[in-house]
Amino acid sequence: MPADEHKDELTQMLHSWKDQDASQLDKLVPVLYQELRILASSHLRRERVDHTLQRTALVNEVFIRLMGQRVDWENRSHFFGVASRMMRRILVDYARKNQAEKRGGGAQRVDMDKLDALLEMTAESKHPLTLTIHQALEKLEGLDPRQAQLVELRFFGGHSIEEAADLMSISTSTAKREWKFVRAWLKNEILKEHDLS
Amino acid sequence: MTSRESSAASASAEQASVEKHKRLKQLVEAALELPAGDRDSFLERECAGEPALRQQAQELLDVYSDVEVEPASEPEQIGPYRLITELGAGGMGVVYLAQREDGFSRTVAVKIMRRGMDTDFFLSRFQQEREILGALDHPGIVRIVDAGSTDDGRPYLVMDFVDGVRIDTFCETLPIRERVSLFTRVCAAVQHAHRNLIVHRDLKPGNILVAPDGQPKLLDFGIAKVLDQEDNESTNATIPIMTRQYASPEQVRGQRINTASDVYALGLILYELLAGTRAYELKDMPAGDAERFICETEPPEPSRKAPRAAAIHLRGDLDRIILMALRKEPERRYHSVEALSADLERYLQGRPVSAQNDTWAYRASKFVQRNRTAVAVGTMMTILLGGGIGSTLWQARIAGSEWARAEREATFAKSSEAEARRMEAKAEESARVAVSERERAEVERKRAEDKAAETERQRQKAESRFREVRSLANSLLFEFHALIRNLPGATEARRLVITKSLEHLQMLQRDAANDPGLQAEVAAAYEQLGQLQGAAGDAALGDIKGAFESQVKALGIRQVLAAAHTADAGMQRDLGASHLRMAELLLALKQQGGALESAQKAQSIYQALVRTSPRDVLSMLGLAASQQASGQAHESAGRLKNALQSYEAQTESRRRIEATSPDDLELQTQTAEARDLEARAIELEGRFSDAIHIVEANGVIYRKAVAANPHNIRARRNMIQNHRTLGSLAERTGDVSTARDNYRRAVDLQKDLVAEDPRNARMLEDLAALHSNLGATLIRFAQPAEGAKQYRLAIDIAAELAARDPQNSAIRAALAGAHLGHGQSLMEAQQAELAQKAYETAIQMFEPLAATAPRDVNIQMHRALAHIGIGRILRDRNDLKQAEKSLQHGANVLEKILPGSGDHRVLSNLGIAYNRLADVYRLQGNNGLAIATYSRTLPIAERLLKQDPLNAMAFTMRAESMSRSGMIQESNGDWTAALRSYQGAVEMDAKQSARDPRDVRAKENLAGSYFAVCEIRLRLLQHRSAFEACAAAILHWKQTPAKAELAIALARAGDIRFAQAAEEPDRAELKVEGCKLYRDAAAAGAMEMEPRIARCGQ
Repeated sequence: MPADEHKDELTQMLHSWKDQDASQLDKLVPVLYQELRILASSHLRRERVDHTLQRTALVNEVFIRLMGQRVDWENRSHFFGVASRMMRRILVDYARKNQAEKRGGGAQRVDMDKLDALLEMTAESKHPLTLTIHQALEKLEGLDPRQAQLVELRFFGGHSIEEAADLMSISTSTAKREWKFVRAWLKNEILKEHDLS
Repeated sequence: MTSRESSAASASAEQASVEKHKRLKQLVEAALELPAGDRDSFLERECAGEPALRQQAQELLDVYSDVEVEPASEPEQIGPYRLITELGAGGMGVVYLAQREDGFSRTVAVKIMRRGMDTDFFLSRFQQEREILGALDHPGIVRIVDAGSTDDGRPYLVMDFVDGVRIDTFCETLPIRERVSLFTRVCAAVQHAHRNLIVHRDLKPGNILVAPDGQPKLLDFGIAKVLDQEDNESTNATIPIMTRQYASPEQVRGQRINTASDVYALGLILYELLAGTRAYELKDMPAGDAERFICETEPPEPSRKAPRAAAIHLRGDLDRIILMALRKEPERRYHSVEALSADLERYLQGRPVSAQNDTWAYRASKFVQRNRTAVAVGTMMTILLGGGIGSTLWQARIAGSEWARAEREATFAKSSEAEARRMEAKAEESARVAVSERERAEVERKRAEDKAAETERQRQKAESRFREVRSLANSLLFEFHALIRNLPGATEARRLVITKSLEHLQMLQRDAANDPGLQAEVAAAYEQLGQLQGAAGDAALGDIKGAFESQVKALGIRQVLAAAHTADAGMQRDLGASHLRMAELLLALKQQGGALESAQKAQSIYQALVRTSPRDVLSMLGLAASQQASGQAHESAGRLKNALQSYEAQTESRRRIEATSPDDLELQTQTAEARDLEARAIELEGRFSDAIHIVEANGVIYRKAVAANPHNIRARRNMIQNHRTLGSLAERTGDVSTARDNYRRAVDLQKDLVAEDPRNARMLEDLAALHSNLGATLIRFAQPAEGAKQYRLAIDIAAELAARDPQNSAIRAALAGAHLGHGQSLMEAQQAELAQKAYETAIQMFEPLAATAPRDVNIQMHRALAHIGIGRILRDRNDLKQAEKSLQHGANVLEKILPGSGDHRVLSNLGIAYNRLADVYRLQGNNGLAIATYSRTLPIAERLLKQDPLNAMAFTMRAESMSRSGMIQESNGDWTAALRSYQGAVEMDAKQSARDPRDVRAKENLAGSYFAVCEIRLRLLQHRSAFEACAAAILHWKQTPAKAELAIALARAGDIRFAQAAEEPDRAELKVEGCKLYRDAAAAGAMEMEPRIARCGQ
């Protein structure tokens, strides 16, 4: 059963996440996502789990199941970091696929006036900025990894500012300040790109 | 460059960008600290020689926004509607004129929720507005034609476009009478909303448009419908000063808002429409002053503020009507919008209006509302006094079931309301008359005393005594109420009157030593007094202990009489009735032992009577009544088995009574009512199927009764109760659709009753309870949002009742229970935060109730459920320590009340609590303890199933325990144990699902269990069995909305086929089937199917 093999690798991957071995991640993400869905359906079925609020609980459950151990502070934050990263990959892939299927392809038209609102939302496959933000993030990772992580946790992981601050071990006010700046930076990047295209 | 050089170069270039980025951030943040004018020069200085940096910093400053979300313009098209222009903006949303473009071509108004407001709180409000508008169907209320959400997920409502003008503008050119007439049409619309238990809360001229055909239309139910307390506060926070213009004193103070607040707003609007200016002008007042003004300052008479031409019409009746609607205390305004409208109609027809001037007596006395109830009770008693006290009281006892009493209360309350109003009017005119009345009564009393001192008692004198006692009782107990009520110190006066009556009766009693007739009258008067003292619903008068003492006196006399006249059946019966009355009082005092004794005394008396005269129907009725009382005493003490015996005995007696007059529908109804008690006791024992038989049989009789007498309240109440009981029983056996249908019917019938008598507290209580029942069933029907709506209706009603009658613990328990149910439905609807708040509200309400009633199974159980509910939310939030605490607390409460109570619900809920607790242990990693705790549900389920093999709760509980245990075992690698567990879960879920093929949740659970079995079989490499299990899962998931799970199961089934194909390469059909399954899976939405489908080579 392919899933089993993947699971051990998955565990390994989670353990060695500190090394940020991206290639392993790519291989195993679909499997993990599948795991999440299976878990949702067969084990937590009496409590339907498709609401964003339950996401963290669900992911928690996956973690326990795979790691077979109690979740303590350190692991939790680094685990959610992984999860957000995974969500990002999944959604970006999905968005790319969707793009390809649309007639004409190309970047979705984004109403510039709505940028602020869009940036505050959580990424979904239909969110018009998923790919754009992903690209901007790749740039940002080279400039300020902490800011990039904040965006990843918030936009792709769906965490609130407070939760993200907690996971990053910074104060909420610091997180808020960073968020304001990085949002402006993102906006700028997006606007620049659209101007050029 | 060499590669090393280039990589070194790129490394330092990277470093440089990192530095630059940091600087950029520092610059921007520093610049923002400065006032806008200084920023330019600041940047000039800091970025000297680095134009690129300067430019970037400037760009960032340009796009920087402090606001969390900026308002942005809307897209031009939303769904099939093209937005044309903005019509206006309200609190939560903006309204646009729009046109439907897809061939239907109509002009509509589209209200879209603002950005930044899509938190749960506002979304639920928006949803509410939609539900409200959807539920209201009236020409005077704007109609909702469509709803949906925008691309970015904001909800919108589409309404008929009302091409009209504001009502105040419209009225400018109308004569006064026509303005009044128009206004009554507005009242009709508001009243319609009230009938649906919806309070608008934001009535103002801006919200009322008049269409070209002259029909006024209410708009913007955006903050309509009051929820529980926190909503009151937050609404006050968001109402800007503008709207405060029309706020009522209770709104401003953050108190309970109900239909009376709408009456007030309507009063203000009418004021404005008729007088041409506002009653209060609050625009330039600071906030605190405005509120004080609203609460304390009396508005000037409209006629004084109106222009001369109008003022003539306003002086007098219209002034009074408007001012009555504007009274500061809600209970002193018109009782309903309809009442206001009716008075306006009267004005238009030239008839006298009911609005009265504010008198000193009214202002001083706080008892106006309460007195109505007291007077109602008093009236009831004295009307009963009319014909043969003893037997009538006794009849009352026989009719004894709550329904009859309630019906009496209802009827008498209604007629005595009118009576009371007339009395008030009379009393008002003559305060002096009141005093002289009292003096006259004093004189009467004195004369009676003198007579009592006479030694000669002849038959005629005895007769005049009868009359005297009666008239005395009448005047003391009834007329005085009306007259002294308006005076300050009314309570004191009433107490005085009762004391005086007691004294007088004592004296009469002494003198009546040789006069059995008089003694009987005195005993009856004591009984009647006791009734009055124990009058429920009036805290000022409610004096159970006093009632008890009066009853003791009455009983004493009756015992003496009965002992002295053993051959007199009437006296014996009267004694029996007195014992019964005593039993009733003792039950109210929670002294079940004494109550039982009295009931049994009554029973033996009646039994003896029946034995000597088997045709004596009155005695048979008495016997049945005493058996019922015994049953109730047993039940109240928790002895279900004994209660059941008594109830069965009662049924037997009633059957014999029926036999004396076989076609008497009334007797049949009484038997059915008796059997209802029996059925309820059986239900509490958990024998649902047996109970259903009885209730269905009763239903046949009740239907006949309603058919014979369609307006009869008692018959209808029996029918409603019947539906309710059937619903409850159907739920217990898992037949969710029957449950829902019955509850719906019950709610509809009850609503009819309430509509006919909207102030009747008892009926409202029942309606609230029915909404709660329906809500619970809808949750099981996988319609938690609908369920939540029902609970909110229940909360509204119960809260209103609790406000009217704060001492009534039954109502408070119902309110707390409704909050609990609301929490449960919110939980199911994935709104954990709101659910937690609801649970916490419930707990807050339950704690004080639980403290005063430690043995009350209902209250304790619901309290436990609230803790368990919170425990579940905390568990989901991963707050495991707290979750454990809450769940443990809940379980403890249940364990404490379990012994001695055969109540199956306690058992069921305890099982649920154990499951949740085990979940927490599991999440904490304590697997051993988790599995052990899951297993604790086994003996519970066995016990439940013994009582009724169809107990749905037992199945659910066990299925959950087993599937969770299976999870643990699976994660430990103990596949065999896990398989056993999952198979157990399948068994339970299958039983559950078989009960009701329409139960979607049950199907989903069953499919999930099958899937779990499939996975385990796979690990054990038992491919064939695995496939069977997966196929079963697929089969069931296909019948539910669970698309994602279906997709996974299909994919998994495909995997299995491929694995089998690897083992048996010669069977080509395996691969073919696998491919089909993969394609089905992809079609159902499974992700990442490409690599698998690639294996199919097509």
